[in-house]
Amino acid sequence: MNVLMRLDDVSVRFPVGRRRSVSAVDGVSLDIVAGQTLGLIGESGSGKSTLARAMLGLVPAAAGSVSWQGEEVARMSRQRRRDFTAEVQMVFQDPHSALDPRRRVHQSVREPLDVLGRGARAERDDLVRAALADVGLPAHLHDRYPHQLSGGQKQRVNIARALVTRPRMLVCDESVAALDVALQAEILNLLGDLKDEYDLTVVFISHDLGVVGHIADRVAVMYLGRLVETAAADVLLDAPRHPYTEALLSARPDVHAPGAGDRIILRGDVPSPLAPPSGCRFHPRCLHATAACATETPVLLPVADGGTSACLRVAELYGPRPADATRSGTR
Amino acid sequence: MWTTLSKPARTAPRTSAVIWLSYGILAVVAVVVVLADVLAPHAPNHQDLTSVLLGPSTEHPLGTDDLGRDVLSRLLHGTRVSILAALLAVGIALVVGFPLGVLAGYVGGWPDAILMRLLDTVMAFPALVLAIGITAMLGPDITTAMVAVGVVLTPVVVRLTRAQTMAVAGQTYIEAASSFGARGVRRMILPHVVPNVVQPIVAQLAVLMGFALIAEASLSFLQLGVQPPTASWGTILARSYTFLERAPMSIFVPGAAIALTVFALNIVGEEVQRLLDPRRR
Repeated sequence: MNVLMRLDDVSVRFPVGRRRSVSAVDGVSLDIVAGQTLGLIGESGSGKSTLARAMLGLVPAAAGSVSWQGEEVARMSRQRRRDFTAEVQMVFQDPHSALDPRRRVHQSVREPLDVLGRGARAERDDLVRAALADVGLPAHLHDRYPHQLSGGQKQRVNIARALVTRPRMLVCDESVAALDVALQAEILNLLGDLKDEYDLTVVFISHDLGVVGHIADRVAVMYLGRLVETAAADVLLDAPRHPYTEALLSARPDVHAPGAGDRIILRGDVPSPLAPPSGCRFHPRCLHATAACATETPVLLPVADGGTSACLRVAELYGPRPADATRSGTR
Repeated sequence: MWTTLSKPARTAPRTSAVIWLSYGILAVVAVVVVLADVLAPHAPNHQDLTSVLLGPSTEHPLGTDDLGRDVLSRLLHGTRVSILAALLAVGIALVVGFPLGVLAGYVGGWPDAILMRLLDTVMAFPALVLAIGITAMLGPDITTAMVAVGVVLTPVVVRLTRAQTMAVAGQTYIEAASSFGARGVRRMILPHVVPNVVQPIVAQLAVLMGFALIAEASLSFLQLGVQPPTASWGTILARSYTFLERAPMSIFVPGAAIALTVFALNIVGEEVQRLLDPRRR
């Protein structure tokens, strides 16, 4: 498997007041395999978006490293960094505020090319038209301002802007969360088509398990800045191997389920990342927590079917660890 | 019982007549500034001591002052002096204040903190008092007086620009632009920050222009601004104040000029802000 981007023990901290900082992302290691769609899920505040920004280098990693095809991004030369910028693009959550209200659609889409100084003016305009056509925006809308477009059309423009540099990896940060359900499906299908057409590797961030299950090959689950489980999408949805994933899955609304009686209800809120719980960060809310969970910090260890789980009791709760642990593609 | 439905007065848009009137007033002022020499029937400083303090007549449409000078000619020439003086003050406030405001709002951190504390100091001075103090030290002169007014107006522009820049800097489109490598003045500040910041500043400039006009009139009235015999709205006002009992009309002429211009500036400023809103296009 060809690893496109490797996150190695990445932590992102933000200063809060004097000499204090909050770890939005804490020691995340993750491989993004070329051609795959990786779904990143977690509650609000779990650090998904911050991790996405760290992937693009929009926020500096306080510890650890992000490498792109084996080269550490933070140590890239100016020129390599420009190439990297063109190869990794992002689609933001709110389609409206991600577009400059004073620029016409085609100006916004052309801007990455302008900034990267690619080709002559006429060539750029051709690329812009091609990208807008690929996302299905009719030609008569290319000269409009963002406020004259609908939410779905605006998100198409955002996708076109991300694709115009011909990136290899696309990071979608809650890219359909602001749209209504019918539009979500439309945009998801569009992303699926574009993934094949542009030969993309996609990181898809969402809090919506249904969406992620539909689009992702692999899923990584975050809780309070840490990865708690990674697995192939169908495996994770079928047989979660972490109590938190299990709780997330059971919270999915299901009209066919016999009743909500056996639903796992998490108590309390996500603890403040300013003062994360000791040991396993999930232990105050975990149904299976023992005394050890409050003191010992679990690490991501391989489990069956090529997944990993960060739970001390994974073997007791979900069956023994596979013998050939090194088979796992994700560290 | 009859009830009538009517829109609340506050939300009703300003009638176009008022807006066009305001544009008209500003157009007249602009023409006078450029063509004062052509339009004025007499030389502004030409004295005719045989005809002092006359009322309106065909030869002197607005009468004459205490030295027999034609009030209309003085008003026309005074318009140029007053407007240029006000433009100087507002220009200084804008040229110094706008870049500082964008810098403070976009960069933040300690440059912002230091700058804002300095501006608090400047803001602590009442504008006219500082101008009076400076002209008292450097000698009465309209240029120094208006530079002082400009310095005092600068913090107003900085604060507004900074607040607006901070709001814009938090927008996703700024982050989106940096995600494909846009940074610096040419790729980030000029194309994304400035156009989205400028709208309320324009409206504020019109208000500041009105303030500067009144400041010029006040300083000249106090003999600290434009020096005799040069005409300006303030000096004409001061002169006619002395002869209020004998020629009561001539004090209204520069007064009306100031009031109408400030009024028109406020209306047009509001209108321009509305026109600059991207949602209108």
